Amino acid sequence: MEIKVMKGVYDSNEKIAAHNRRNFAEHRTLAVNILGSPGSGKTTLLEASIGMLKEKIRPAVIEGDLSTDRDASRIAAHGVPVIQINTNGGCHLDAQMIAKVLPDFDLSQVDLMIIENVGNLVCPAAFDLGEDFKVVVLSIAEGADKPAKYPRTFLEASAVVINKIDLLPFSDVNLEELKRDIRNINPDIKIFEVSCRLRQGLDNWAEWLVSKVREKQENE
Amino acid sequence: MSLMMQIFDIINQTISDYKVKKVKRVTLKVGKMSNVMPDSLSFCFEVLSEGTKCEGAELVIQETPLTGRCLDCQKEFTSEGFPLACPNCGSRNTRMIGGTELAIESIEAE
Repeated sequence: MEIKVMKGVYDSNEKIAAHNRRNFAEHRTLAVNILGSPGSGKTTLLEASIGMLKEKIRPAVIEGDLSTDRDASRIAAHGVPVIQINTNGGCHLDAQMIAKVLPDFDLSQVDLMIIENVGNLVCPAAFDLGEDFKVVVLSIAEGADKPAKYPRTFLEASAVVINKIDLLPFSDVNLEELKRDIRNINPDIKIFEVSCRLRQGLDNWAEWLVSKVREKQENE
Repeated sequence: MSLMMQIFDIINQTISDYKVKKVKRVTLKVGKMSNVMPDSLSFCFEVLSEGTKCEGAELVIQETPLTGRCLDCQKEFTSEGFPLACPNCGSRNTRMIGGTELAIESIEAE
């Protein structure tokens, strides 16, 4: 007998993601899912911009990591609510993990929920967490071929933060070509160029996030 | 491997609704841009099916192409990669409409 199934492998994840999305919408909390390779500077970017964000809005952070709570401790030092999720070897966060920790936050006091995914450019792109949009952090040190190798990740993202631009003089990466490759995959993507180490370009990124928070607060 | 475990969850749920003795074939639809490697799917299927009703079953992987729609002339088209340029009118004003799916299409069982 032939059984027609026609079920997406991600269907059950997407159901829970929709539940998370409703939860964020009820509290008018903007949720952002941050993706990037290990070492691209995801946590450093958050640390470098959280002070600027705190002046204007109320941020909170969910840290995804394989097994340590080092990133959460780094964020907690900046005085924002943070919860660590350990995936115990799992290479990505899924919607269920987020649903489990959301009750531990008072979302009515959170304008922006930043979810830092596990360092990985592959699997996190396929798992909707209920976020408003995804952001990829890509560092100059990773080389120029990441967009071509992982197009799905750049397709799914609304913005790319190109980090470590202070390393450009020491690398073969051509910034204009890199940006063109990214826009070939996703013409609408917003691109930020930053150096967390030299504190360059961070205000544009922080202001954009704040404007997205305001947009959501006005529309919900 | 965790994806294949989810695939098995769906298979087991589905066959529990029917009186299935043995699964002979499972057909998956895998988008060209799904980031999933067909070889590793086949390997994980073999490993996880041991000792189940799926043991020895054939895993058929249908790769679906990267598909776009032109926002200028409204034509749908397939593409080998990015950028998505419309082959009909040459416009780059296009949207991707398919190529990232990962779905179980059908199960052949007895």
